[in-house]
Amino acid sequence: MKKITLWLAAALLTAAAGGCNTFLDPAPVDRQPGENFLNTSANVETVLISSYDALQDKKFYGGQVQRVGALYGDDFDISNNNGGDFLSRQFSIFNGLGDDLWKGGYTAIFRANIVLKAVNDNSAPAATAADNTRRKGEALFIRALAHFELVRFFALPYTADPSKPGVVLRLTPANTQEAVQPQARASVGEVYAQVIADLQQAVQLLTPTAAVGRASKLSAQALLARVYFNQADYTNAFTASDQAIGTAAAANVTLGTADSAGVVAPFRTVGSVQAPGTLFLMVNTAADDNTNDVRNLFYSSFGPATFPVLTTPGSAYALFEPGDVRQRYLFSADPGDPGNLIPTSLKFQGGDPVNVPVIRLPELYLTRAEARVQKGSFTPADVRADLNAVRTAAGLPANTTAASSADLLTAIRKERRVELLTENDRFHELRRLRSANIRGRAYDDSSALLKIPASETSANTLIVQN
Amino acid sequence: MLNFLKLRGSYGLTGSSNIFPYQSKSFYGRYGNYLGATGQSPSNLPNPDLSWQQTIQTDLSVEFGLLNNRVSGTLSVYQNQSSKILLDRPVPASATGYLPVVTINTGDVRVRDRGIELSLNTRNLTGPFTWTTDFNISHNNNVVTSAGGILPDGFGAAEGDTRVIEGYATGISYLPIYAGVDPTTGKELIYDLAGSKILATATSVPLNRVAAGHPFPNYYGGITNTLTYKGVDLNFLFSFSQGAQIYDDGAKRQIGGFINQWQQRVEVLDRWQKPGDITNVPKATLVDGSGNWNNTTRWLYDASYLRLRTATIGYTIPVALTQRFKVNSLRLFAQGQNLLLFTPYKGWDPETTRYYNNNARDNKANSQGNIAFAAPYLPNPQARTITFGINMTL
Repeated sequence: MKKITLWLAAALLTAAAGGCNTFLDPAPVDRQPGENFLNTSANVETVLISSYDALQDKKFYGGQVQRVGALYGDDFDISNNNGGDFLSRQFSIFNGLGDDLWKGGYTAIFRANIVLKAVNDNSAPAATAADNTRRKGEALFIRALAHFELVRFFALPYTADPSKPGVVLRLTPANTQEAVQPQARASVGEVYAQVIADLQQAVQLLTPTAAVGRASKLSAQALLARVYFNQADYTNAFTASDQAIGTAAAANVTLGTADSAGVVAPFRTVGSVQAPGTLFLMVNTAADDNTNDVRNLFYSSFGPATFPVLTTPGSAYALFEPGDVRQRYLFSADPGDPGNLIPTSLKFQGGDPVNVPVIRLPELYLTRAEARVQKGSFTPADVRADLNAVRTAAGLPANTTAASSADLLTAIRKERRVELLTENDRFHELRRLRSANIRGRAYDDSSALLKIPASETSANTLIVQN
Repeated sequence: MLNFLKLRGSYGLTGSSNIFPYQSKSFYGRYGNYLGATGQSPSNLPNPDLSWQQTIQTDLSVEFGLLNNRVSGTLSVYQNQSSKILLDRPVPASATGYLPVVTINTGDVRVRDRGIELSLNTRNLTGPFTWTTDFNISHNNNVVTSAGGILPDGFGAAEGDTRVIEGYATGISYLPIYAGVDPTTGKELIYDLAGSKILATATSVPLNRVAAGHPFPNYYGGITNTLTYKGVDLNFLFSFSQGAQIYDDGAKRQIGGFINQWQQRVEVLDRWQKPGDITNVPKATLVDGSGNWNNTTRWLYDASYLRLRTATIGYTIPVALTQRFKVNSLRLFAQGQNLLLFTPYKGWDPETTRYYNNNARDNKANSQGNIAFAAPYLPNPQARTITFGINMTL
């Protein structure tokens, strides 16, 4: 009996000692411990998914990118409301749009950097080489895309002075000690150089096409063309757009047809469906819809839209030629409804989720056309062929006359302006072309820019403000 | 004459770890989804170096009784020095984009409270007519002796533009100094950091903020008098506070801001109306974003007050009378709360504080809401209550 009691006491003591740690230091049940999280291939993939999710969010391509693009540029009437700081040109460090863009972009970058570190460290031994290559390429693409949008929205254009402050470059996932350290803005030139390096690597790593809504070699090449074009580096812009168009052709990605269905498809498709001419897009579905903002900014079924299209002479809308199916199906107010006279952009329109195109094929044709002229020594027919590819898809007659570089550039830029209206292109075009008057401010006037938000400056003493 | 004297003092070091658990470890959580798959990413920035917050408390008191305890009281002085304060240190948004703070305690952030308290109890009259007085008065000096190099906006932008700023009291306001109204345009002016008057705009307001205001009173206290004569008892308590300023966070909307949406205060009648008007209230306008109701020192008000907090009068019916009805005691009384208030404060109530949001810890960006105690936003004023009652013991 005594022996049994002893044994029992010993057993109880052992159990108590073993249980003590879990009793004093219980693990939470609603979160996964971080230490070994990235050792699983599937977990690394979920971080990549969350990085895409940050791009898809309303803080970024779900609305704020298009909204700030419209507010910065000169194609929309912003006096209605929500113009705020953009109307007075007095920007606050607490501007909510600036805060959204900044946080949205860096959220995508932070998560992409976690994926890059996991792949580089080979933290998940079970991940296949193909998985690692793809993940690295996608993460580099996302990091480049976010840095690129940020430097375009928060810094002076590359065409002003590349040595001016750009944005903070984040190339590793910050741990706690690194996160609290202040970090200065890299120069505009440094940011562009990093974006280009990331994209060049992504082009090498990614397969020509990918699942709808995910980065591919084609999307990386297309973005690279846009970056070079923004720099006014026309030789490289030509090469990159030429390669991207080649990749698109090999993958049977073509422009849409010149009718209602073809014109509307890139903006009205939902879910994992590749609409004609879309090269990279954010996929939205009823279960995962981040487009409420972008859908309702430019169009309202209840009354005037937040941002109606300007129709004054010189505005993009006034440049539409008669018979343009883009105007007919994407811009004009319903011709059958006489009460609806103020034209609004019907891109993204509606009460249902839509996929948001980020880069489309017509832009590449127009980039290649302009770059071909700008880099010098061109054959006008080659330039017109690209221009007319876009015009044909818009139901317009081919331009057979433009031959001088001045005429060609005028025709291409007009086409670009109407083609990409509502898609965050105009402001960046004005800056590329060194416009002295962008809503009253010159392209190299940093007071026309959003301030670096307080969420950054309050903790980062090295930030030089706009 | 001196019939009671006691000296007591204490010194203590206390630790506190009143923060949410698991902040030292790293975790992943669900963040969104894309293409039908669930996203996960870090849900915190781990801090393995977390330790206890320390407070060194020192106090010294004298308790005394004079004149056969007709006068008694306590005089205390104290100092609380907190260091290694547990706080949410801001993280630049570019570091992660969505994890704004990390909980740290470095030895750098220190807050010191020093104060003196006096309480006096006097029995002024004894005998059939009794009169006793209890009086207390306190002074506390709270100062952030070191902010550890963290900028004013860095401790999380507390509500009502209150901040933690080195050299100032916790909860000091961080505002541009209001410079009146431009007589020619009717627009709001502020002083820039160099001291010249400039137009208040979305850009100029945040860039010209300085520490302003006085969130704590210079002194505060109360006095209670109790008088009894035969069956009648009378008791009244005055409380007072001098020197605190309130940042009336709702006032800007009540004086010209939300002119088409909210009831306005009478000050709006003094608004600028035509060039040449000299006034302190800018022109009223319906233009959105007109910038005529910026957060400035215009909304800082003196919140000193003297309040008759409670007064009670009662009458106990003589026992000889009540016992005839088998009742041991019977007292009738009337009590009033918040009967009188004397204050220069123009808002609703000088004694209210910012509501404290219990959920603030969930929203980490807002977790410093307890700094905003002196910046009430539309608080409910205290009610005036009058109670009549009967106390009966069988």
